[in-house]
Amino acid sequence: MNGHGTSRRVAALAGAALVAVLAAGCGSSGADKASGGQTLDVKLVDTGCSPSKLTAKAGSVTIHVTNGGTSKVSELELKNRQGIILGERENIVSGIDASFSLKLAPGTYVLSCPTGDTEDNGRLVVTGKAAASSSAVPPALLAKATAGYRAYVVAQADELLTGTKRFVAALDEGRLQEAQDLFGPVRLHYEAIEPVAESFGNLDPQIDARVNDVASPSEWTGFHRIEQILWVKKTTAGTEPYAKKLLADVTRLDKRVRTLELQPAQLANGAVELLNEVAGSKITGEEDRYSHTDLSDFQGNLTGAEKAFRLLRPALTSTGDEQLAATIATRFAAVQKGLDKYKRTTPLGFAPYSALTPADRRTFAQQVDALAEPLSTVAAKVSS
Amino acid sequence: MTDEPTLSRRRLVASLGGAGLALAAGGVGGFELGRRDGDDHPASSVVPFHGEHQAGIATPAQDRLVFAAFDTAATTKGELREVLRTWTEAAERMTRGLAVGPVEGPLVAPPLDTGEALDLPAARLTVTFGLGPGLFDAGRGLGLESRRPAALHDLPPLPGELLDPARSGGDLCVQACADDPQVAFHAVRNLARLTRGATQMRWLQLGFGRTSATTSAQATPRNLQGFKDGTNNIKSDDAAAMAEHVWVGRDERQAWLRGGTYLVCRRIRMLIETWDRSSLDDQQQTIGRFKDSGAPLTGSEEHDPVDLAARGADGQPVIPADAHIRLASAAENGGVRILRRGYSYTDGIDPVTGELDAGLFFVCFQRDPERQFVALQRKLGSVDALREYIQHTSSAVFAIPPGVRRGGSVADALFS
Repeated sequence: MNGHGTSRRVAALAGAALVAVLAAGCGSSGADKASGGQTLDVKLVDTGCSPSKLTAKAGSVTIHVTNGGTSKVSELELKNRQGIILGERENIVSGIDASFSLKLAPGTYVLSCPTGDTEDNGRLVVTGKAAASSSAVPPALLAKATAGYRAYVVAQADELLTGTKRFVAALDEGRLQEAQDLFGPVRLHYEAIEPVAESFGNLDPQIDARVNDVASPSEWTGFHRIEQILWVKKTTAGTEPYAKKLLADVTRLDKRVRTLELQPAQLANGAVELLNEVAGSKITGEEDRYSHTDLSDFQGNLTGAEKAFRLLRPALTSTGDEQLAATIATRFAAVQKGLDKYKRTTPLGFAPYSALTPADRRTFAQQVDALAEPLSTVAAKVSS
Repeated sequence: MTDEPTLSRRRLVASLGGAGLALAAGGVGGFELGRRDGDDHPASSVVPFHGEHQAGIATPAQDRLVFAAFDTAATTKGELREVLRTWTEAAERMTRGLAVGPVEGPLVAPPLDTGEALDLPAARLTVTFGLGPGLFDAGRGLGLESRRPAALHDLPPLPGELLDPARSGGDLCVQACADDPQVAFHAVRNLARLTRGATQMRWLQLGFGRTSATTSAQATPRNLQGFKDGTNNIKSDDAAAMAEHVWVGRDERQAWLRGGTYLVCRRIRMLIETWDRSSLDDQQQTIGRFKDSGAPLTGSEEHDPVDLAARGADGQPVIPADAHIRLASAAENGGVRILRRGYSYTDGIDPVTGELDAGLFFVCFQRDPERQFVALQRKLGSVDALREYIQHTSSAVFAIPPGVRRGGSVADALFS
């Protein structure tokens, strides 16, 4: 959880039928013009979305949301039939409008303008033919990359579930030391696939919120809630409700990743997001503020990003971008080499975050920026 | 003005062996920064990028400065050259008021230009590039040791300084000056992004107001001590003085630097609180000028001659022996002069004392730092009355290559 809300990253990695998504800024944007697509106007009213039934042709679709004078409804989500959020806009109160654009394949989508009583109160039916791919990359290479990544995500989610079961057992049986030892290594699997988890609505905050991410302390659940008890109170007492919920949420996550359909651009930009996680919350030390296990999370983010890149590399090479690929690979290696210096034979496998000097932090930040910048150009090369 | 030829995109893309900002070149259009209507912003807001000398030196001082020093990870001459080529092309575009690339493009890719200067005029933007002494060290492995200009060395320790290494030195410098601070910031930010990984920003200094007049037509501005500064600065329209004191001449063995110059910058923190409680008399005696009019203590108008020999009724010099304008004057320094082009800065408050961290980001140009800036500072730092109120907190020196020919790039003669 990065604490910046999920809207900007919502569709970064997951989403069936989603070809490309741009979460446009509030108000008008160039997205509509740039994509030459259709604009659908949706008003928020007391009963939800108005109109509640929309149609569009396959291709670029911009959804323009305004508040029709209701104080009950202030957000709109577009989901696929599996319930995965493809795009959303929040805090649309009276006088505010917002829009977002995405490329939609034919099918039925769910519009959600939550009123408190009802949620999925609209439908969008997309007809026509899916746009043909204009990518120069052989589709087989891309299919192999996405299939490989999907398998990776499923394997990581499985490991996360297995680890979480052990972690929860240790908590239940009051084994403080064991629970502390498991905390970092188990989380690593979550960090490796975090952008995927972030696409499942509330799952990410429920599993990974930090204390300042939630509106009220009573909403705070997940790993970091337990982390605080284990390290600040130095006990497993009081973790029981959170452990139970964590296991349930991770089980849900593990189930839902099996329905994933990923696009190559999502892999690429998901890798960038993983590095943004490193830059935003690991190098600052704010992720694991009680346990100082940040370097293990760092490794999870880095491994997940590199996995996505490795899978995309053949596709990238096929477009003649070998040099870009080589640069990115070299820079991945440089970050890993820096992190390797902090590997330890402890249960965590890494030195505590506090071992980093300010100079180390600066070096890591520079290396991550140097890596993420060229990586951010990959999505456009491998997407249609 | 909309459909600028996209000459630079491929180069920008291919630069640094794909390490720079590689992108899928989208359609044309969306390239233009500012001058959208053509009429709003007169052509005079564009300072020509090409010429015999780099712009931003003799150019009438603009109001704002963003100055950044970079270190480079380049391990070969070729990589360094690629950084400079990328920067040259982008800077040339930006000084014309154009974006470095389209803001609109593939939805899944970040925009090529960061966009904050869209709709702003060129604002007389100049971007001036320099090379630090470290690049020419034998141990550096760039193979440039035989190309080091005679006068390019780190400055020696000087009186009156307490330098912060994190704000000093650097392999490369980018001085962006403009009449709009956001235009200058945009330039530095985008250059940093284009070569990210091949370069790392080492430090950055913002200057919010010019403190020098560099042409006869410009009025002399005031510095943060409230005094007119640089009344007797070299004026860049005085070609003879520029040739004598600023431009590197044919006597330089390294032909690549002829027509260039050397930049020395110093972050000079003013002890604002102390200065503000000093009496008017103290302040005027310290500087050697009247605060209100800017006239020398021996005159009544700003441009009245500074009479260093004048004595008062008490037999003492009217302009005290330790007054700043006396010690800094060419007459007292064997004719040595420099072109000053500094800016007032503030970086908020000193976290330790809570006092203002503000002063002068001093930038000067000269033919020989050792003979000019260093000689002046040795004297000023040890006897100038002003030294009680200031402290030099950063220092850097760069060789500024000559101007760029159309189709060329900064310092290309260094690599040929």
